[in-house]
Amino acid sequence: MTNSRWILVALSLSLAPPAFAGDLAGRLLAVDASTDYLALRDDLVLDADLSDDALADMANHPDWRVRQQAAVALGWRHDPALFAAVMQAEPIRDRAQRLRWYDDAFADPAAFPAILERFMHRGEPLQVREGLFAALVERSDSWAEVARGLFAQEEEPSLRVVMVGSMRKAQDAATALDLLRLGLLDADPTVRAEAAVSSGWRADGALLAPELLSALADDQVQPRAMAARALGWLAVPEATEPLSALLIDAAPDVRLHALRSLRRLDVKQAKALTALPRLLQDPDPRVVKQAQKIVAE
Amino acid sequence: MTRSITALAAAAALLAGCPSTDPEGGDPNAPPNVDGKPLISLGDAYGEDAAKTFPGLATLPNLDDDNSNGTPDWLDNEAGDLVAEDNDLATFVVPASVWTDLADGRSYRLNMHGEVRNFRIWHDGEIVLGAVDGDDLETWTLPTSTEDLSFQVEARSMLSQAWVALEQMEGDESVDNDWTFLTASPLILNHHLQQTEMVWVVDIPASGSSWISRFYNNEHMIDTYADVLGDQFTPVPGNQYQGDVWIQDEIQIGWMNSPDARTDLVIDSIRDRGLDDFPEDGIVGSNSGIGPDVVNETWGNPQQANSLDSFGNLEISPPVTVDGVEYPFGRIYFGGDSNRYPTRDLTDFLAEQRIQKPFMPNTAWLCVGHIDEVTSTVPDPSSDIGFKFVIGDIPSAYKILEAQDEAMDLPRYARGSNEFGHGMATVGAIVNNNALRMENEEIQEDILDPMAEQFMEELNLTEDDILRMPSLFESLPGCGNAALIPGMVNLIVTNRGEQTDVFLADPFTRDSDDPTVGQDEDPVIAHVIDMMPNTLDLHFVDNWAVYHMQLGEVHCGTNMMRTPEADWWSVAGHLLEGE
Repeated sequence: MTNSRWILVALSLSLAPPAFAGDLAGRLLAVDASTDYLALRDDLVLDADLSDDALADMANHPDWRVRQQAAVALGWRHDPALFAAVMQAEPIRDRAQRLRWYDDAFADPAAFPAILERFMHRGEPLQVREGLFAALVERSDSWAEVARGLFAQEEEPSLRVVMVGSMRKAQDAATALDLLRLGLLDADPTVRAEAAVSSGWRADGALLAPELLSALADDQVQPRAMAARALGWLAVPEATEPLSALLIDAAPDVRLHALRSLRRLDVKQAKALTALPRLLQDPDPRVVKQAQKIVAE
Repeated sequence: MTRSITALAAAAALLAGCPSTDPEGGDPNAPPNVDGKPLISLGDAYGEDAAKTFPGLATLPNLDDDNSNGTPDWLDNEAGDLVAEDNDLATFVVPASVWTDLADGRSYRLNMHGEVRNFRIWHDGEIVLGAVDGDDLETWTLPTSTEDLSFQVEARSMLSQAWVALEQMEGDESVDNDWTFLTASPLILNHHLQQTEMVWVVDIPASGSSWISRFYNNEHMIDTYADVLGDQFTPVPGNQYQGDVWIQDEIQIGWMNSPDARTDLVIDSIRDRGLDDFPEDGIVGSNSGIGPDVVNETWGNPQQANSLDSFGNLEISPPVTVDGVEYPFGRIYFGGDSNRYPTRDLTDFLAEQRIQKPFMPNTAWLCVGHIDEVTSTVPDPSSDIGFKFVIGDIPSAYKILEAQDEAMDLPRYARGSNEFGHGMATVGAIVNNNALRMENEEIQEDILDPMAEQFMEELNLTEDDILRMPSLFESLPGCGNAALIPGMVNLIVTNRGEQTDVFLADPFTRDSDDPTVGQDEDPVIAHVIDMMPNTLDLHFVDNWAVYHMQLGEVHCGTNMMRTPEADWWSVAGHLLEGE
């Protein structure tokens, strides 16, 4: 690997040595935020007074956007073919019409800042951006942090769903839990529901128990149902009482997940539920089946 | 076609002013069939009294393009010039004997009733009854003949119904008669017990030197099909179809037939992805080696297509008897729920065919939503019903994996999602994943168990008729569930004579990077081999990168043409009669 290429990879993986930030960080942030992004980025790339070392020094900057913009400038200087290839790469559609990139450029470890640049600044349709975000996941140590950073400014709920969902497997626990908290408070119910599900997927998801318990009072069915479900997956004992209260919920999905979670929390307690005889007659056959299972266990 | 033939014929008879020939035979004043001899012969393909037994003469919708001029033959024939190459006309005969000893002053005439404009009857190269150039010919007087008179019949569309009466006339009075029903073939979709004629898979060869290029190919699957099926297998060049590998989704093939003719019909999905032109190029077209007795039709609006309009979501059971009703061509099923379902244009049409009464299991929980992700059928000659129903099953998958060493590496599963993996490196990573287990338990309880019960009811199955295929699913944020273990239930059955082969996904539930560990040491494969009828030759193909990781499996990536079985006019009349 050439030296410049090592710098590029190191930047994208946040492995470069500690660095001095100075005014350069502000300039990089300004480029990132500019409506004239491409012109300002090219200025950075072509700026003879801006050394590679100065850009490389940004590798440990606390703001991921600074690190990203430095990596982009270095990337266009030293590996323009890779960056151009990422910008031009055509996706394939999977069977669910999701776009996925399986080509050499996307597989290159140095491609992360290029993919992220395309995601942030290319102005492509939602479906393309969803696919590009999926390509970012797990490609860099900083992807979870990037996702958290992008989440707040992302206007499309379906993309916020994907961002929250990507936290299921994020190794960076603090970032993942932080983003899931944001997701549980999101304005869109599909995002709140996915945040509840993804909380349940994490081994440390019980740390979100207070937020999930609050979500049991969500005014939308799916966030309420998924919170009830996650509390059962995570075996949160404090959930017993509020889940019991949901057994009279008007929505079958909520009754189903509340009852199943109560069974998972403590089947003996579930057998003693005063609502059980009524749930054995519930209009939803799934609820009846759960109630029968509790009786039989 | 939901109209009653009884009502149809009665109405037609009244309109025609000839109640004496009401096929109901209910008019006590109807002239007798004088000597009891039939005046109309349908030929050797029909049993005794077939003419007067619904559906009568089986005819073929003349929708194909035998002269390859780009126009369906029915339309070509409109002006009265029969397409020279046309091979889709059914025949009935008025034998010369009807003129023997015919009294002076008597003659014969043919009357057609019912959907007159949906049929044409030809004699001696001319249209004598039915639709011609905008008119409906309803009556034709026969010339006296010393030879049998042969009539050829074509139909406009599936399940068109009419009846033809041959009356012996004395002046204006009908003194003798005979008649036959005319029924156009319904569209019948193929099921897994029929013989295989041709199999297609889109070819994605390895190209380039990168790891991804080497991995993203279906060479093992292509090679396996080629080895097993020989010239009954045709690879479809992927570079001509934008790499769209989902050939099951693009087309569904069925057939229409009569004793002397067959037309295959390709239902061309409204999904309209890369393979949109494949039916025209590869099946219907004169250069395909298969046409021209093939029709390509589309139902629905492509602008309104959703994933459920793909034909991985349109399947057909083998023959069954349910609540005493025989379905000799099986039953159609497609997935959906009250909010998301295939286009009604198509499903209503299929229901109107009546012969394979459809039903809809719930597949809304799946990301792709296709019924072939969780159910299939395989032939089983030892079974009373001739097949086994296969459904995805979660407990058996856990049972098999839990019996393995938790440290066992699963290299295919280990890689990240951007490298064709699930991020689960070992057996332990799967069996000890609490959320995965909870989610799968819920799928079994809420979806698969009720689905099995639904199929047992709709297909009249017993528990012995069901094979439980080890399966695990993983939810995808914002989409739904998809197979974690490659979906082996998503399988292909080919029948060639007595030989039956099944092609299904290699689950790779073994240390597949170890060259000494082959499929014969895969515990899931061992279970499936043990579970399946021993008359089947199983082929576990590597469909990991191109199919499994793109949310499909072997069945999704394969399509085929099959040979019609059984004569609908002999065995399915009961499904076409009545309201």
